[in-house]
Amino acid sequence: MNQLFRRPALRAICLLAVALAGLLAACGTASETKTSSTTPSTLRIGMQASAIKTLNPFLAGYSGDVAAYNFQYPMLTQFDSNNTLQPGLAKSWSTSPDGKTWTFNLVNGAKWTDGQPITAEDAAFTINTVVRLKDGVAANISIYAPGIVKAWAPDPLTLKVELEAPQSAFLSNTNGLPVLPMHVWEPLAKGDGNKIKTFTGDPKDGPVVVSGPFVVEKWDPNGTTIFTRVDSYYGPKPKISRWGWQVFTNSDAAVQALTSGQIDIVAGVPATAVDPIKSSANLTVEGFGLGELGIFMKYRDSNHPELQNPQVREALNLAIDRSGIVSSAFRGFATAGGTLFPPAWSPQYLSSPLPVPAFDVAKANQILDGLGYKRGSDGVRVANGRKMTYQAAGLSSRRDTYGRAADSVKQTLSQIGVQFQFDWVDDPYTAYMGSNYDYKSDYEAYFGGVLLTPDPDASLLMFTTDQLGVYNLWNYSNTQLDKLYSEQSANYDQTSRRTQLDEATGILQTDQVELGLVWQQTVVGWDSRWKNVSDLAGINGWPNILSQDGFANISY
Amino acid sequence: MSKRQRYVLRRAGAAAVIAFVAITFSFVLFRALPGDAVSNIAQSPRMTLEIKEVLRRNFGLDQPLTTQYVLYLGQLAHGNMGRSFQDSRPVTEVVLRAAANTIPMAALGTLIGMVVGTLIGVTAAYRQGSSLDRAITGTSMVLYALPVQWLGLLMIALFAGVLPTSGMSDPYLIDPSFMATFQDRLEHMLLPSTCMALLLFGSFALVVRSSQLEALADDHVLTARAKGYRNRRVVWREAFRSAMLPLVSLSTLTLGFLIAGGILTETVFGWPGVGRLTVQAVSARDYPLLQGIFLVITLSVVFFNFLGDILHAVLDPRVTQ
Amino acid sequence: MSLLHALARRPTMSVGISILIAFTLMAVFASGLEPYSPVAPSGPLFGAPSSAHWLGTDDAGVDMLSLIIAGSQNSMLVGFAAAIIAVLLGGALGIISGYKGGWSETGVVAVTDFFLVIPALPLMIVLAALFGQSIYQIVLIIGLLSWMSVTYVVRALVHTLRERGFVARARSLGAGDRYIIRHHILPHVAPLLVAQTVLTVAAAVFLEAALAFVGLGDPSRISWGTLIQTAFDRTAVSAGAWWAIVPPGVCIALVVLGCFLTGQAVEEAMNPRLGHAHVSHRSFSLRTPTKDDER
Repeated sequence: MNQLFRRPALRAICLLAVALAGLLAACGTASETKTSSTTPSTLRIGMQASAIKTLNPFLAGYSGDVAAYNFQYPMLTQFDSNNTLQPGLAKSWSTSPDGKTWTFNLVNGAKWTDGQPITAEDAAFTINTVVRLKDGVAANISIYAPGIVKAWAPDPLTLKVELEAPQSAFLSNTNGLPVLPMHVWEPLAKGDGNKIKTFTGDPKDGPVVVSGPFVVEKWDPNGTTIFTRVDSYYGPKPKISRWGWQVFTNSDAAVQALTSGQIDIVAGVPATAVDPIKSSANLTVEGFGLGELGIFMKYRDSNHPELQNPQVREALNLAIDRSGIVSSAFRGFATAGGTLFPPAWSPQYLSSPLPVPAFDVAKANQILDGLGYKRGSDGVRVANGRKMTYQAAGLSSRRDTYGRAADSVKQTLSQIGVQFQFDWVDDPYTAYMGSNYDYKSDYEAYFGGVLLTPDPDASLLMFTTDQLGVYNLWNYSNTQLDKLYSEQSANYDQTSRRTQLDEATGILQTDQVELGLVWQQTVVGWDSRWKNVSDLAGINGWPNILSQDGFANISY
Repeated sequence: MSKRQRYVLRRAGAAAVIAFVAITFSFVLFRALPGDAVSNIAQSPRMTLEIKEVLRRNFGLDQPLTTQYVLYLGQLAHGNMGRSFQDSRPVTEVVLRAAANTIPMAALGTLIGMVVGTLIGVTAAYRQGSSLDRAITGTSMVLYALPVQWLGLLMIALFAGVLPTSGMSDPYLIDPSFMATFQDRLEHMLLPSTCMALLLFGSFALVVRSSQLEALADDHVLTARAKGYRNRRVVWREAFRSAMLPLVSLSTLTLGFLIAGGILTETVFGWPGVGRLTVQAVSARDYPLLQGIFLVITLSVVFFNFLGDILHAVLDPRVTQ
Repeated sequence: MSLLHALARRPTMSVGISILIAFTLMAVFASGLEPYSPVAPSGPLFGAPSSAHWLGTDDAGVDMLSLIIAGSQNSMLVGFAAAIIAVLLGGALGIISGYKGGWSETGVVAVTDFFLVIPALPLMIVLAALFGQSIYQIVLIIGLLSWMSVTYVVRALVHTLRERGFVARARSLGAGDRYIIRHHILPHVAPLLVAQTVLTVAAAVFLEAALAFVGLGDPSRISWGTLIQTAFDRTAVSAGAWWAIVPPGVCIALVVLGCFLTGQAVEEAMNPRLGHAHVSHRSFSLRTPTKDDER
C-alpha cells in the first residue's frame, strides 16, 4: 500500500486535493468576515430582472434601463406607492381652458450636479428634441411624449407644453420622460441627433450631469450597477448613501445571496422562493403591486367564429379557477382578476372594481350545452363544425412562473370540453399576431402580462380600432368604444370621465373581451432591520420606477 | 520549401477556408430567425406601428439580404461586428468582455481537469486490471456520465453558505486591495471551475488511459524494458510520448472550445461569460450579438485546431509525409 | 457469432445492457407504472419523500416518481431516435467516403471537419429557436449534429477493410460496389454501428437535457431534462428539495453509463487484441468532442 504513495502522480493528486480543501476552508471563513464589513448605509438590492444595459435614456429598452434614468434625472411629476400623483420637478401645474396647453411651475433653486441651475429651458429642450427626433434616434423614448406639438419656457421656472388635443392621461403618459440638461445634450442633438447614440452615461467616461436623488457610481451592463446619493438633489434626500442593482439570473442564487447576507433585499423572485425566505428568522417577505396576467383571446378569428360570441367567452371565463391559481401557482402572492383594469383604479377612475368571474364549471357547461356544442369522442366540444381546440403562445422565459397557471387553465378548461394548448416561444407576440400583424396565425390566444400604467387611458387604448395590428391583442373593434375612448382621453373633468370609463368598461364586460387570470405581486424579501422598504412599491410592483422619491425613507 | 512548411501552409489554407464558410454560414443562419428584436424590447402600451418601422430601419433589417451580407463582410474586415440590438453597444466589445470573464474560469477548470485527468489516466493504464484501475475507470465513467447542470446544482446545494454560488465578484467591495479582489474573484470562481474540471477529468482520464494502454503495448516500450530502464522512465518517456499524440488533438480541441465557456456551467452559476451571453442573446433575438458570439467561438476553435495540427506535425513527423 | 460470445462473457456488457433494458421498459410501460398523475397535483408543495410519495413531490405537488417515469419516455425517445438518425447518416457517409475514396472522401471529410468546428450546443440552441421546440424538431436537431464522429470511426474501419484481401478478391470476381458493400463491408461495420448508436444515445440524452435546461426543450412534454430545469427555476435548492433535483440527474447518469458500458463492451469485443483499449485511438479522441460540445 505505501508503494502507492511513492507514485509521483498520486502524490501530486493528493497534494492538490489537500490544497483545494485548505483553500475552501479559508474561503469559508473569509466570506463571513467580509459581509459584516459592509456599511449599513449601502442598500444592496438583488433583482431577478434584466441588468441595466444602457445609461442613455434614448436607448433604454428594458425596465432596468428606465429605472436607471428615472433615479438620476428630474421628472416633472411622479406616482407614489399609493398610485397618487405627486409633484416632482414641477411643484404645481394647470391646464388651459381648451385643454391643449399645460403649464408647469418648477421648483425654485434646483441645480444640476455641475452647479448649473435647472430651468424650464431644459425641460422644453428635452421635449422638443424628443418630438423632433421621434422618427429617428428618439423612437424608443418618444412613446413617453405622445400628442405633443411643442414646449417652451416663458420664464426660467415656467414650462408650457402644447398638445395636439386635450389629453386627460397626459401626466401618466409622460411619466417616463426625463428632463435632460440642455447645456450637455444640445450639441449632441444637433441635426439628425445621431450623436446622441454616443452618450454612454458611464461615469468612467467622465462625470455625468444629472439631478436625481442618485447618480450612477459604477456601471456593469452585465452585473451590478451602483448608485450613489446626489447631495444637490432638490427633493427629499435619501437616508442611504448608496444602493446597488445587482442582477441574478436564477432565483436560487438570489435567495441564497439574501439568506447568506450578501444582499439586503431580493425582488422579483418567484413565489416558490417565499418559503425559504420566510423560514429565516430575520427576514421579511411581502408582495407588492399588480402585475396583470391574462389570456388574450382573439375576438374575431376566421377559424373560430364562436369566439365572437360573448356567451362562449363567458363560459371560458367561468371555467378558470383563479383562486386556485393564486394559491398553487403564486402561493397567495396574487389577487384573482387579472384584467387590464385593476381594483386600484376605483373609485378614482372607475366607480367600482370590475367583477371577477366566479369559478363555476357547471354553469359554463350549461352555457355551452345550451349553444348546442356537443362533445366529440375525445371529450372536446365541436362548435359549428370546429373543434374547440385553442393554441396559446406564451413567453418562454416566463414559463417557470406562468407554467403552473397555464397548467391549471388547461386542466379546468378541459372540464368543459375545451382543449387549450400552450406553446412557450421566444416571440409570442409575433407568433400570435402573425408575421404580418394581421392576426392570421396558428394561435388563438396570447398568454402573458401587460405593464399597467397609473391611468386607465393606456389600458383602454389597447381595445380601440386604431390599435389593431399593434397593441389591440384581441382583434376587437367597437365603434362605441372608440368614441368613448376619444371622449375620455380628452376629458379633464374627473366625474364625467369616470362615467365614460364606466360605460367603456361596461361594453368590454358585456362582450366578455377579457379573460384575465390574476394580478400577481412582485415578491420582495428583505433583512428585517431595513425600514420602509414598502415605500418603493408601486402599481407595477417593486421598485416603483414611476416615482423618484421611493428611497427617501428607507434606512437601516 | 520543405515538406513541413508546405504542410503548414496547406493546413493554414484549410483553416482559412473553414473560417470563411463559418462566417457565411453564421450570417445565413441568423437572418433566417423568425420574429425580430423590435417586438421584444420593452413592450409598452403606446408603441405604434410607425415606431416599430423606425426601429426596424435603424437596425438595418429592411434591406435586401445580399446588401446586408456585403455590409457584414466589410464590417468584419474592420473588426466591427455590428451593434447589439439590446443596448446598441458594439458587439465586439460585448463579446470580448464576456470572453475576458469566461477565460480565467474556464481555463482554470479546463487545465486542472486536463492535468489531473492525464495523471490519473496514466496511473490507471500502468496499473491496468488492478482494483485501483477499476476504481479510477469507474469514477471517471461516472463523472463523464453526470449532466453538467445537475452537477452544478448539487455543488450549489452543498456549498450554499460556504462559497458564493453565483456571479463573478462581490460588487459592493469598497476600494478593495489587490489581495481582497483576488480572494473575492477566486472564491466566486472556485465552484464553476471545479464543475468544469470534474467534467473534463473523467473524459481525459479515460482517453489517456486507453491511448496509454495502446502505447504500452508497443514494441519500443518492450525494447526499453528489455534494456532494463526503470518503470517510471518507460511509462513517461517512452509510452506517454507516443500516447501524447491523440492527446494533443484532444487538448487543442478542448482549449478551442474553452471560449464557448460551458453554456450550462455559466447558466447554473450565473457566470457573466460567453456561455450565459449566448442564452441571453437567443431569448432577446439579438442577431448581431449571436453572430458575434458564434464567430468568436468558431474562429477560436479553427485557430486551436490549426495549432493542434502544427503541434502534431512537430511531434510526429509521419504526418507531413 | 464469436462476437456475441465475447460480449456475453463481459460483465460490463451485462451491467450496461441491463440498465438500458430497465429504462427502456420503464419508458414503454410508463403509464402503467406511474403511481400518481404526472400532471395533476397529488401531494403537498415540495413535499419530502414519504411512504405515500417515495420520491416526494415537486413545487406544484406533483409526485416526483411519476414525473421521473413519465420523463423516461421522452428522454429515451429523443435519445434513441436522434442516435439512429445520427448513426444512419454518419454510417452512410463513413462507408461511402471510406470505400470510394477520392473526391467523395475529400468532400465528406471537409464537411465533417466543418461541422466539428461549429460549436454544437450554441448551434442547437439557435436551431431550436428557428425551427421550434417540439420533440420531433429536437430529435432532428440533435441527430443532424451528432453524426460526425461516427463518420470518422466508420471511415477508418472501412479503410482497413478495403485493404484486406477479400475485397480485392470480390472485385476481381466482378462484384459491383453495392454488392461488396452489402456483403463484405456492412457485416464488419455493423457491430461498430451498434456501438456507435449506443454511445450516441448517451450524447443525445445529454443534449436533450442541456437544451431543456436553457429552456428549449419541448414544453408540452416531461423529460428528465425539463425536470432539472424546473428544479433550477423554481428554487428547489433553496427550498431544500433535493428530491426534485437528484432523481432526474441520476437517471440520466445511469442511462449514459449503461450506454457507455455497452458501447465500450461491443468495441472491445470487436478488437480483443487491445485488451481494454479501443478499436483505434482516434475513435476515442474524436468521439469526445461530441460530448464536450454540449458543455
